[in-house]
Amino acid sequence: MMKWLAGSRRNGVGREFPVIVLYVAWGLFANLCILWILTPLVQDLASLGVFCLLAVTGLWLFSIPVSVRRQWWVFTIASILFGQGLLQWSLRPALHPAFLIVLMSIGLVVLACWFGRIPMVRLIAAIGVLAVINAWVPIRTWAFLTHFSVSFDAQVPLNTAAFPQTPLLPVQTAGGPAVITMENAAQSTSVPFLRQTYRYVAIQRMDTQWTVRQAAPAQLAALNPFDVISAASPLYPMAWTAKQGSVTVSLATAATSNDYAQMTTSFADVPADAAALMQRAQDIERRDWLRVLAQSGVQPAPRLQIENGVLTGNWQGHTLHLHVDGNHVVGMGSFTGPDAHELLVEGLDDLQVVSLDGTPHIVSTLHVDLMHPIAGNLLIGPFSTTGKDAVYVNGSPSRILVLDRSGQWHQVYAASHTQLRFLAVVQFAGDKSPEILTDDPGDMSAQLATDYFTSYTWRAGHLIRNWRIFRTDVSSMVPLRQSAEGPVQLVGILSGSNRVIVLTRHQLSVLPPAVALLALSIGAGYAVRVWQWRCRRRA
Amino acid sequence: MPRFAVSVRLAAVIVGCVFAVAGCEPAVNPVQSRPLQGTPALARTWQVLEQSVLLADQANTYTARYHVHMKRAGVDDWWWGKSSVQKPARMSMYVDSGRVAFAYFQSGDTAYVHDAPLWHKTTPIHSIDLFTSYLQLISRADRQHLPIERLPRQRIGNEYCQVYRATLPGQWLNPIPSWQNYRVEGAVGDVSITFYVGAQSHRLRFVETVSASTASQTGPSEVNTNIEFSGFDAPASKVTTPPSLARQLGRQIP
Repeated sequence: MMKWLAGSRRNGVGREFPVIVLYVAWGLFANLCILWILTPLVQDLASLGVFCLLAVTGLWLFSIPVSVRRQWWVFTIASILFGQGLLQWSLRPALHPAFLIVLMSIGLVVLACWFGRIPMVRLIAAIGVLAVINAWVPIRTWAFLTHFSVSFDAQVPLNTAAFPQTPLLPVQTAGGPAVITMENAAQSTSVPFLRQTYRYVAIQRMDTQWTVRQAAPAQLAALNPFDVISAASPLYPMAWTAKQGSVTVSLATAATSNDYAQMTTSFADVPADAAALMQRAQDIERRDWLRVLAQSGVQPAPRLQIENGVLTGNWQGHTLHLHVDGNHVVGMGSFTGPDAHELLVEGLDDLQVVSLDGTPHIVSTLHVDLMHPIAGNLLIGPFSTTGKDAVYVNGSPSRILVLDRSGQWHQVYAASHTQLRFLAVVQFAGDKSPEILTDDPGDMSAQLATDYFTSYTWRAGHLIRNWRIFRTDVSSMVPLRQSAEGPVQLVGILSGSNRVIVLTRHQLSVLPPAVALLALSIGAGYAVRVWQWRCRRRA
Repeated sequence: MPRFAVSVRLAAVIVGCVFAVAGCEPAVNPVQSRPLQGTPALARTWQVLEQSVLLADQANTYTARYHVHMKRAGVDDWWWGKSSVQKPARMSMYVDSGRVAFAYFQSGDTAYVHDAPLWHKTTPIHSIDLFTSYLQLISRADRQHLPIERLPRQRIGNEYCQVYRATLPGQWLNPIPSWQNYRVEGAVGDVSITFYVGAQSHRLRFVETVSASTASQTGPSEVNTNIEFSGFDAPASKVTTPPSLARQLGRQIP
């Protein structure tokens, strides 16, 4: 059997084919093991992970019978290097990938065949199949496959100097749900960010296909103007131009070098400078945004808003007029009980919940701890199986706040470090309890600035981890539902590579079978060695 | 056979361990411990702080390093910089916001800003004293007997410091003249301010603030600042004409 595996030229075509299939399958499996099991060990457990990795590698290495060890080992390394090469080059679009992949393949084949004495056909078949699979399901998305299927993956280039965090704004129009984001209007990336123009694009499903297309004026009108303004820094305010049905954005500088110099010499007043800058951005940009919408022939969608401390708008045919402490409507939720219609209002140092059922009234006010401001980064999402919503605060540290029926706030959770950030709270089909999706550092590397895409569930007073996908580039996620009964899909941005990704949750158990298969392959190796040793003793 | 039995058993144990740590086991994210609590400081603390600022301000030359961080829903803004001050009227500065960086130089009533590749003349700043804004706040807090608490001492640069923390009303702060038109009442929340006074030098060494700022209709931003003063009367804090400016002008600025 070992001779058959070792690949002598005496194998006929009929016997060679299964060996090639075995090689191809192992090449693929080795890459999956690296992405799903071995790299995560190191990323999650730091030095302990390195120890585990060495132990597994050692165990695996010695499980291979001596006669094929070198060949099997070189083949595995060559497959993994090829897979990692495909992964790295797909994340660096600046280089010309096709040429580099061909160059890498030739180099690897020559080296592996010379050093590992692997029949060339098997190696070429293995890397060929890997390349084909990569063209179909790119290796850069494999890490997500343990818990999601990737429905869409496209590049949306946006200058990070202009927009450090790519905006993702969900909208609902007659054309269906969509997520609005921005991209560079020109393909050139060498232009300084202040001289470049940007445009709005909509990520949406048309029939069965996901697309990225220019956002329609109706979609832009459905956006909250304050969300549009918040996409850019108040230090670099936006200005809009309407041209032939499209809206383009350019940025300007709000603070001159002289302003910075003055801020420095009166450094204690910087919080007031920040407030003035934000007010300046709001006044100028809001006016400009409304002007550009009018030029595009659309009116901003009516919404609940707060002006001079008064909540105004229209709710189910009733006109609202209620004095509130805050100045910003975060969103709608059911905070005191299931099916309640309540509004979360945010102020400088307080949160208020306004009930819209019956006569509108303030249900509760929470004064925020001064040392831990809330900073406008709030998420409203379902809380456990209570049918209620909680407020997920992305602060330092991040917290979960729940309101009871009597209007009393409870902080049920505060993160043990400042890096945990809530991305979305979603109840996927098949989940008993909603999944809290976060960006969270590894268990033993909380001091490192590496945050991974992680899912938790609130159970018995704790955040219990469901799974972790070892991707550090998941910077934002927006849940999107095509219809009231349809599954929730996640539209996300992968920072660094500027890719938009649409993920659909599956409930298949992928990781445990992969670990079991790896354990089985190691076990099988030792079984073969025991059998060989027995045969030798008998002889 | 026993050797193989041992290695097979060992393999099973290690593979089992790997199975357990490979993300299949639920992990609990722990809940945070209590924040740092201070003790109420003595009534004279504001005067002590005032003295520390006056003492620091007596130095002819000093250097300040500062950092500003504005955190909002979508955008994280920051800028940092370094200033050297030489009394009566010389200052050099370098500011970097990650996107824009510039150098500034002022001597008497001449000021230049380095907008690469050249230096340009600009309006000089009226007062180059970096301690004035702190002195005003401390005097006002002292007059109004604002409570202040003492925290455990900490090391800043080359010395241990006494640490004091107070909460100032946001309306005490004023934006720079160019943005005065955008000043809105109640736009700055209470400011938590922490002063670090050198235990040996008795000078103000470090100040940090945590607060929230907002516009009239947008959600608040968390604004964190810190500034460290060092190099009091040290030769390294002396302000000389930047070499590229001297080359451009063909002379040193007195």
